[in-house]
Formats: sequence, C-alpha cells, structure tokens
Amino acid sequence: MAENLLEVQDLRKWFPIKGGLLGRTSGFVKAVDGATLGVEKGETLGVVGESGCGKTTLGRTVLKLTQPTGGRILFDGRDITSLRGRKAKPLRRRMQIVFQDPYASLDPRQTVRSALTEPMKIHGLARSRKEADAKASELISKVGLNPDHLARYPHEFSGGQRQRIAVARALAVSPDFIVLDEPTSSLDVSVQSQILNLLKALQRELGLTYLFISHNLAVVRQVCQRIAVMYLGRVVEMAETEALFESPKHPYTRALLSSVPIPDPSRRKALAVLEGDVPSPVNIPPGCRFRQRCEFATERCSEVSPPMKEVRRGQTIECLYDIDFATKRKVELS
Amino acid sequence: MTVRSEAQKEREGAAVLEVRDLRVSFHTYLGEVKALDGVDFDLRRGEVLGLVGESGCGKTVTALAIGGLLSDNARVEGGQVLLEGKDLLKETKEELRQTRLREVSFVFQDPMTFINPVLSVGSQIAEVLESDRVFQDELVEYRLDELAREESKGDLTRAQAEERQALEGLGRGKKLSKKVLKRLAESRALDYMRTVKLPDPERVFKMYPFELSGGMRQRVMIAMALVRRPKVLLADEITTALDVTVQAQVLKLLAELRGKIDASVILITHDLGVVSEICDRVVVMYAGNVVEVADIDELFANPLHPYTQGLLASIPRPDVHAEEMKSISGSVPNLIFPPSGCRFHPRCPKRFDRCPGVKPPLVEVKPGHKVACLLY
Amino acid sequence: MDAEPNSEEQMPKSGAMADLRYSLHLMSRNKLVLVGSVLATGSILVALLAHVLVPASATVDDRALRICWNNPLINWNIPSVNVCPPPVRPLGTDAYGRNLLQMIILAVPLDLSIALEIVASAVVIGIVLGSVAGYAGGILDEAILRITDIFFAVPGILLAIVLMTVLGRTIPNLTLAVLISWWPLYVRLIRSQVLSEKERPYVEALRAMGAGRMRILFRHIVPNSIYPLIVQATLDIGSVILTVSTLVFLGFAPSTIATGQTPELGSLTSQGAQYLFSAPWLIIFPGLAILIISLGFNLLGDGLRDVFDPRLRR
Ligand SMILES: Nc1ncnc2c1ncn2[C@@H]1O[C@H](COP(=O)(O)OP(=O)(O)O)[C@@H](O)[C@H]1O
Ligand SMILES: Nc1ncnc2c1ncn2[C@@H]1O[C@H](COP(=O)(O)OP(=O)(O)O)[C@@H](O)[C@H]1O
Ligand code: SF4
Ligand SMILES: [Mg+2]
Ligand SMILES: [Mg+2]
Repeated sequence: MAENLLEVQDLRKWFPIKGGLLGRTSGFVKAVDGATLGVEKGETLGVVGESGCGKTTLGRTVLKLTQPTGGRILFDGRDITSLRGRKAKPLRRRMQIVFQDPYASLDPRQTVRSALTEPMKIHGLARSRKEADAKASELISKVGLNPDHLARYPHEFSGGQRQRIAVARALAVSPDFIVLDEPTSSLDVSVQSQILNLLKALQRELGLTYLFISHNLAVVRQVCQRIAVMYLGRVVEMAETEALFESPKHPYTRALLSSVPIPDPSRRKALAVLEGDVPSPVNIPPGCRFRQRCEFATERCSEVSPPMKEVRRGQTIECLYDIDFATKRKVELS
Repeated sequence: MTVRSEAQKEREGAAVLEVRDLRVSFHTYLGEVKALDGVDFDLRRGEVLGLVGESGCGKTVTALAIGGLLSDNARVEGGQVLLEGKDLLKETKEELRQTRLREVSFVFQDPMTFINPVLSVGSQIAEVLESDRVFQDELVEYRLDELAREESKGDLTRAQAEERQALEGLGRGKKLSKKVLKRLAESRALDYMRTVKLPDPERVFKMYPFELSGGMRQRVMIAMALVRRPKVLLADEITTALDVTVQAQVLKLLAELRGKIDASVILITHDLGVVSEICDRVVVMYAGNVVEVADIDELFANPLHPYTQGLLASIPRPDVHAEEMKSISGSVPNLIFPPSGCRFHPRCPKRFDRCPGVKPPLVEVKPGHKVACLLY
Repeated sequence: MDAEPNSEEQMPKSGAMADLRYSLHLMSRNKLVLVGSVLATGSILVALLAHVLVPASATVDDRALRICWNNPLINWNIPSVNVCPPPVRPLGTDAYGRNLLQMIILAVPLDLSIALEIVASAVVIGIVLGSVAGYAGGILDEAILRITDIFFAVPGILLAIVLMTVLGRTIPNLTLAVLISWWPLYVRLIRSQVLSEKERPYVEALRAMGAGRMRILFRHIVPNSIYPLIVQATLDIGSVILTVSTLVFLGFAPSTIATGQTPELGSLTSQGAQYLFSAPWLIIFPGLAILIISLGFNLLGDGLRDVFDPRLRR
C-alpha cells in the first residue's frame, strides 16, 4: 500500500446555530462529525453522498479554509490541524482547490492573466513579471486554452472554459494535492468528459493527488481509484472503486448505487427506492445514523454507534453487520 | 383516476399534441436569438416522451411555446402547435388561457418559484380549482361520482344524501357557493396529494412550502399540475435539483402515475439515465432543431445522428468504467449566429462537404425512427 | 494536452466595446436618464468654464443700473435701487446690481466642489471603515456600526448647524459639518456590499491560494463592491448640493458668502427671499439652478444603477 499523502482522523466540524435575542448558541450543525479517511499519494479518492452530507465542509476543513472542531489532519506526515493564518501559507502552495461553480469562483474583474499570476506573486514563485507571464502562457496551454485568452475576462468564457481556467489557477503554485469539489456538476455532459479527461491527463503528467468530491456516482466511477461514501458527516464505507460498485457492503452504499438510473433501456430495472430524505445534521440520533432509512436495522442499531470495521481487504464500513444483500442474511461484525 | 373509455383506448397511439415546424426567436440587444428553428414532433396519447439535449438546445423554450408562456421578447415566427387538432398558436389570449388551465400543465425544476411561500400547500392546490369556473362542473361531477361509489358500498348518511340532492339540483354552469366550492376543491386536492404519495397528506395539507423538503415540494408541484386533469403534462428538469435517492422516488412516482392519469407526458431532461428509466420515445434536440426521434430502445441501441451518438458516448455510466471518456468537441453554439446548414456541423466528427450548406430535413429512415442528418 | 483543445464555444465577440455599447444601450433606454446625464454633465461643464464664461471685470453692472434707475416702468418700484428685472439682463440683476446669470454661473463651481469634496471624503471614509467592518466582523464591526448609529440618530442638518455654530462659519467648516452627517451612510453601504461579496466563492478561492486579508479586501472585494457606491455617490452629489445650499440659505454661511462677495446658490436664493414679492426672479432663478443640478445628478445616479445592475449584466 502506498503511503498516505493526506490523513484525516475522526474529523469534526460543527457550525454553531446562533439563536434567540442574545445570539446564544442553541445547537450545532454537525456538518462533519467524526470522518476518517486517508488519501494515498498519486491516487484519486472520491467522496460521494447526498447533498448536505458534509462533502464540501470536509474539503474546506482539510484545506484549512475553516478550523476543525475536533480530530486530526495530517498532510505529508505533518500535523496541520491547528495551523492557521500566516502559518498555513506554505501549505497553500501544496494544496489547492477547484470549486463547483466556475461562474463564481473567478474574480469577475480580473483578467485570466492576472488570475493566473496572482498566486505566483503571493508565493514569490516568479522573479519577474515576464517570467510570471511566461508561466501563465504555459499553464493556459496546459489546460487546453490558448495564450490569446490571457487578456480576457471570465465572462467571455463558457462554463467549461472557466473551469479550465480554475484548474490552471490551482496549478499555478505547482501543488501536490488538489481538492476537486464537484468540478463538473454545473457542466453539460459533453463538456464534462472533456474536463474529466483533462484532470486525468494532468494527474498522470504532474503526479497529482486528488480528493474528488461529487454527488454523481457515474462520474466517480470513471475517475477514482478509491471511494469514500459519506452519510451525515461520517464516512460510512470506503473501498476500491470496483469493489464498491460490484459489491457494496454498507446498506446505504447499496441503496445509493441502486437509485442511480442507468442510461441503457435494455438494463432498465425498477430503481430501488430509499425512502425519506437525508435527516438534518442538527439532531443526530444516537446509534447508527442511517438506521431510520435502513431496511436491515435492528434494535441494536439504535443503541450502538457502529465503529469502522474492515469487512474485506481494503473495504471498511460503519455498520454493525456484514450483510449478504441477496439472501438478506446478516452476520454480526465483532 | 378515471377509467379510460373505449373511445379513448382506440385513439391510443394517435397524437394528442403535434408540434409542426415551430420557430421561435428572442429579441435581445445583441441580436435575434434563433432559439427554435423548425421543431417538429408528436406526442402520442398516454406516452411519456423524453425531450433531451444539452442546456441551451431549446428544450425549455419548446415547452414554454407549447404552453403559451413565452416571455415578452419572444416571437413565434411560424409553425403550429396542434392540441387534438386545434392550433394553440392561433387562439386568442383568453382562449389560450382557458386551454392551458384545462389541458396543458407544467412542472418546473425549481418548485419554489411557482409556489406561493405564504399559503399552505393544500390550499394552493385547491386554489387552482377554485380560481376558475372551468373546473366547477367537473368538481361537482367528481363529488357525485364519489357519493355514488359510497352508495354502492352501503347507504349514504343523511348529510351525504342531502349534499347529493343539493348538487344534483344544481344545473350545469350554475354558480356554486364559495363555501361549497372550497370544500369540494379541498377534498379533491387532498385526494391528489395522496395520489402523489405525499406522506401524511392531512398534515402536509396545512404545511407551508418552506417546511417541505425538495422532493416533497416537487410532489406538491406534480399534484398541482395533475389536479386539473390535463391532457398534456410538461415536466421540465423536475429531478435535476434533487439527490439521486429522491430522484428515484420521483421517477418511481411518475412510473406509478402512468396507469392512473390521462395525461401524456413530455419529460424534459438532459439526463439520459432518467430518460432511459421511464420514457417510451425520445426526441433529441440540438441548437433549436429536432435531430432525432425514436423509440427508447431503438435510440439507445441504434443511434443514427452523430450528435446522439456523441451524447450517448459521453455520458459516464455508473455500471462500467472507461479509462478515457469520449466527448463531443466544442459546445452548444450561440444561437444569434447559428452555424449554417446542419447546425451541428462544426462539432460533427462525420461532417462532409454538403453539411455546412444544406439544412438536413427530418426524414423517417425506419418506421418510427426519424433523423435529421445528411448522411441518411 | 487535451484531445480537443479550446474548441469549446464561440462566445459573442465581447469585451470592452460591447460592454460600453451595452451600457449606453441601457442608459439610452430611459429618457429621464438621458436628461439627467445632459443636466449633470452640463453643470460640470458650466463649473469648469465658469471663469471663461464670466469676464473677470463683471461685477456691478453699471449699464443695467443706469437703465433701471429712477425708471419705475422698468424697475417695478423695487425698494432696492440696485435690483433690475429681466430682460434688462438675461435673468435680471441682484440686490448689488450684479448680473444674476453671471452670479449663478460663478456659484456653480463653488457648490459643486463643496459637494464633490464631501461625497469623495465620505466615499473614502466609507471604503476604509466599511470594508474593515464588513470583512473583519466581530468587535471591530460592532464598534464601527455603533458609531455610525450615533450619527444616524442625530438629524443631519441639526448636527451641521450645531457644528457650524461651535466651529465658526468658514467654508471648510461647512464642508466638515455636512460630511460628518454624511459619511455613516457610506460605511453602511460598503459594509453590506463587502458582507455579501466576501461570501462569494472567488474569495474562498483566493484564501485557498494563500492571499492575505489586505490583498483580498482591497484588490478584490472593494473593487467588486464599488458600483453601488458610484451610484450612491452620484445620487448624493445632488442631495449634498441641496443640503449645503439649505444651510447657507438658513444663514449658516461663511461671512464672505453671507455678504454676497462670493456667490453661492443658497445665498443667492436667501437674498432673493427678501424680495420674494417685489422681485421674484431673485429667488426663482437661483432656486431653479439648485433644482436642475441636483435633479440632474439624481437622474444620472438612477441611470447608473440600471447600468450596473448585475441582473441586467452577464
Ligand atoms: N458555513 C456554514 N455555516 C453553517 N452551516 C453550514 C455551513 N457550511 C455548511 N453547513 C451545513 O453543513 C451541512 C453540510 O454541508 P456541505 O458540506 O455543504 O454538504 P455537501 O457538500 O455534502 O452538500 C449542511 O447541512 C449545511 O447546511
Ligand atoms: N427569454 C429569453 N431571451 C433571450 N434568449 C433566450 C430566452 N430564453 C431562452 N433563450 C435562448 O434560447 C436558447 C434555448 O434555451 P432553453 O430552451 O432554455 O434551453 P434548454 O432548456 O434546452 O437548456 C438558448 O440559446 C437561450 O439563450
Ligand atoms: S448499522 Fe444497522 S441501521 Fe446502520 S446500516 Fe447497518 S444495519 Fe443499517
Ligand atoms: Mg457541496
Ligand atoms: Mg431548460
């Protein structure tokens, strides 16, 4: 097993809910609530789950864009949990992020050239303006646009092109690790695959490590080596991509996978329907947090919070049982 | 809901709605947006027709044109929208409004834009029926039917009998009192809330839109659309904003409703997964043109138009892993200066010398399979 | 790198020219705005050219006075011998026998420059305090907000009157007095702009890039918050002129203005007030000048609001 570039242990990020006249904290949105995962050097780890399950918050916390409430984050072997402000600046050279909305993640009043050279200026990566401009030209060609585009403003580009610019900007500091937060969710399918191919090619060329956040399971299957499934702020299953798709072990993963429509009418099946909506991350019940929607839930599920268990090599779940979905037989995990 | 009459069954397969060579353009300061350039398709009775294509291809504009809901800067340049033979584009404003109320309903992607935030959802559904006289007779008939069914099960209570007498005494077209109208409409609304499987409908009836989840709001929208018993239901990207799990719930609901409602459905989506899940036939649009029409199985097994082929190849599939993903180069053109000839030619891997010059007509290459490409 | 590079879309050939064209298109849609732009630019031109339009020698208009003197047919039996009605001079003469039109022209640069100074200073204070309050949040925000509250609570004119009385009646003090009641508005405005702007994803992207607070705030957030400020400032030039001339009208004017040595629209009006019934043009014309200038800037501001409206953009 390769070494982990990023390790997240029992990470928590709670947002206080301010209420009442005096602005007292009346509770917490437990956006991330005990997530554990590791990202190996050079791989793409997918993070999937329904909206509101804490994917974005996980990404932001890992990048230290927001301070974690608890747990530990190790990057390249160093504990970065409490780094902040100026101390976190060296980190920003090594970790970058690409956001979902290419229309909002670029400063509308900044030319592409200025957007690409700004990170170099901040980190002193270019000795002169000329060098910075040369680097910007190189970056823009790398993402499949051409240097003529450098003088333009973001509104002159289509969504896909803007996302390319956002990728180029992330690459400007030559990072090792990039969080991709739904990078293709607002793009059309035909453009989506262009961007995904680009990301893959860049990874091969530059040896990048990705944390790929997405709600689209089909996309994740194409680009990720391993996948972490999140539910209500926790990673409930983690496995290699093929293993996860071929034989999911957590009831939630299974429900999620079988609710994805397959674009092939000859394989039309009745979609398995998971009833109900994602519960609110404010009042999380004790025990397994999936139990209200789980068809296999037992008495014990409401009493014991399932710990992370390895059910197969490289496949861990947070469920009390190892369930055979075909026969519906379950074996208690000790 | 209602049992289909024999006559209706006979007409099955015939078109409820025919869109013929529809052309719509928008006037903007940058120039004329030629949004629809000869859109042509049929919606058959009882079917679910998928309308697919990338964003900006004119799917929503098509729907709005059918419903007469285009914005002020839009102009219908030509064509026909025939609902059971009568041309909706020729109707006066008032006629169109009435037709729309009774026969064409919409469900949109973002329910919040169409729900009044300060009215309870139940009263909003009922309001649809109360607000217009055209529904009154129907409400009365519906209630009488209900009472008749009640009677066949056992005796009516005294109150029910009196109610029936009162309703029967009412001539057609006579005005109901506000109170009675409201009661009838609300009971009908509640009925439809059950139809769309809203959990605990009596309670949800009194709830406000913000108290509902996205999936429940979409169900409310569907109930609101169905309560008028339309002939055509236009559903524009209704599952796009939902999570896959909730999307599956809504798709399942649509599948269940198929047997129960009279409406034929046009399901607009850019997601071919959704299409393959519940549609019978598919219309593929590109840049304001219909480029291919086929039965669902035929379309996926044997796509003819290079755009359809590209689209199918570029969707990531949840059931297989592909090392390199296919894509269509470029993106949907700006429709102020649409490409000449075949509008797809700048992106088409199979283009040849005639493509930039000749606009391909939509031709039937096989029974039920039409394509607009010069290759065929 | 990619199989199909940069073939993605043929966006309209936009850029600065198209942007400008669109702006003009938006402006020209509204007739009133067009009128506003003409009036506002007109008054700025008058201000810039005042000393060219009015010859330096033009003080007391002897010829006019000679025509009027002892000529009841012409001078309408006005008590002050120096006042002459139009059309002897285009707008008549004032109580000192000076050509009223020339006086109004000479007054415009003074009024406009006071207004500009006040608005510009308010904008600068607003940007500094407002952006710091909005971006830093917490105690600093709270403190700055409370201070603006205090100033909001006191009626502006009253505050200015008290200040003028205490500090003495000079032009800088007049400017200061109006400024003091004016700046809090801009702090509020910029603060709310910054508050919404800082939640935009590009700010987060900048943070992830390692950009410092000052860079993010002054190079990105403030320039992006500036449009509503420009609109407000334009609207306010009109209102400030109105306020300043009101103060002067009420008598809170430096002695040079009050005695009429330095022409100012408010003082011209107030002098005219003495002859309200006998020589109404003395109050009507300077009053109209105030109205036209402030209306011009107001309409222009409204137009700019349309032009900068993000909903009409993009
Ligand atoms: N800054 C914030 N303040 C308060 N609550 C937040 C904040 N950011 C996210 N949340 C809440 O945390 C939960 C997880 O959000 P998010 O991480 O964005 O989920 P996802 O990306 O999986 O859709 C949601 O309930 C959301 O409302
Ligand atoms: N109100 C409008 N004014 C100007 N152009 C419009 C308007 N509505 C739609 N369009 C244009 O019409 C084309 C088709 O749009 P639309 O039907 O919304 O696409 P789709 O629903 O397939 O994503 C697009 O090019 C769009 O820019
Ligand atoms: S622990 Fe229980 S409730 Fe949770 S997923 Fe497993 S079986 Fe279902
Ligand atoms: Mg997210
Ligand atoms: Mg649409």
